[in-house]
Amino acid sequence: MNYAFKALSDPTRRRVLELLKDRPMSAGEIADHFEVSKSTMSAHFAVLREANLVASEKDGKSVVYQLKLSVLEDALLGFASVFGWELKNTQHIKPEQSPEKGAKK
Amino acid sequence: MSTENQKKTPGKITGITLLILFVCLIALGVSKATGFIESNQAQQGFGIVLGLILVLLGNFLPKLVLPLSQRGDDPHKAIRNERMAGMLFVLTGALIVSVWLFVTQEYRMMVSSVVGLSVISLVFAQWAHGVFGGLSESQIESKLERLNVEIPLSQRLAVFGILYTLFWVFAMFLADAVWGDSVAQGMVIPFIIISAVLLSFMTIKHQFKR
Repeated sequence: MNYAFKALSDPTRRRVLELLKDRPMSAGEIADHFEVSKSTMSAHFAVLREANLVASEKDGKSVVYQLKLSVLEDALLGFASVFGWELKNTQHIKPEQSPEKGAKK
Repeated sequence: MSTENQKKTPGKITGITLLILFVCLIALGVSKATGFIESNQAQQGFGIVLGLILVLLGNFLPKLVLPLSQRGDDPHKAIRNERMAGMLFVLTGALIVSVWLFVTQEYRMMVSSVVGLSVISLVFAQWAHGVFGGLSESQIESKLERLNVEIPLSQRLAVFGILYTLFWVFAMFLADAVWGDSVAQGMVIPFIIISAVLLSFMTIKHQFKR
């Protein structure tokens, strides 16, 4: 559970999980929603995988992620997003980008 | 496609907690048999533990993710349905615990069994439709083969087995509430027969895969 708390305490990782609630996405599609380097995103994915909050699959050259949240973790994510663990530095997250735009890349 | 993190087993804590709850069920039975607690108290404890088992399973269910290649034409819908099933089980389990705690004794068994049976039937039907809906027999066969190869069979069998048993327990509760104890006890026999048939079917299937 400690891993889950650690993973959910970061706004970027929470945003990744929120994105995956819509549909499974490739690493590239998810990265398009953030203004951070690929290595930083890879580190975030590693933390999420370590916490067992996402499942990853290789599809050709890309890696596709899908949610693996228990009901409790889902509730914690909602709680963290709404009440606490507010974003202190959101500059690296692009303000608004539709999933369709990200999917084209 | 191949899943990368198949080797992880998220079910350890769930498994241990389930084991503790099963020990509680046995302890309740023994306490009742030895006259340590009243029959009504044992029944109430039994109902509460069943609700907690449903909460636990519901919480764990969305962790049993299938590879995307097994998601059918609409992976988004399949994933959403699984998450919904998990939440439904958690809420139902909580409701059943509340029923056994707060509803008067004469309605407890009836209400909890109707709620439990309805939700488990609904989720089973939805799963069957989601996995096999619109497929021919040969397509179902090949899908089952791929499922057995790509994700661990043991966890899915364990969850299915516990849910199936809960279904029967709620059915026995309902029979007890409507027709009395003797009918409920009589339902143990079809439970054993159907379980044996299901188990042998699954074992044969699994042997063929090897």
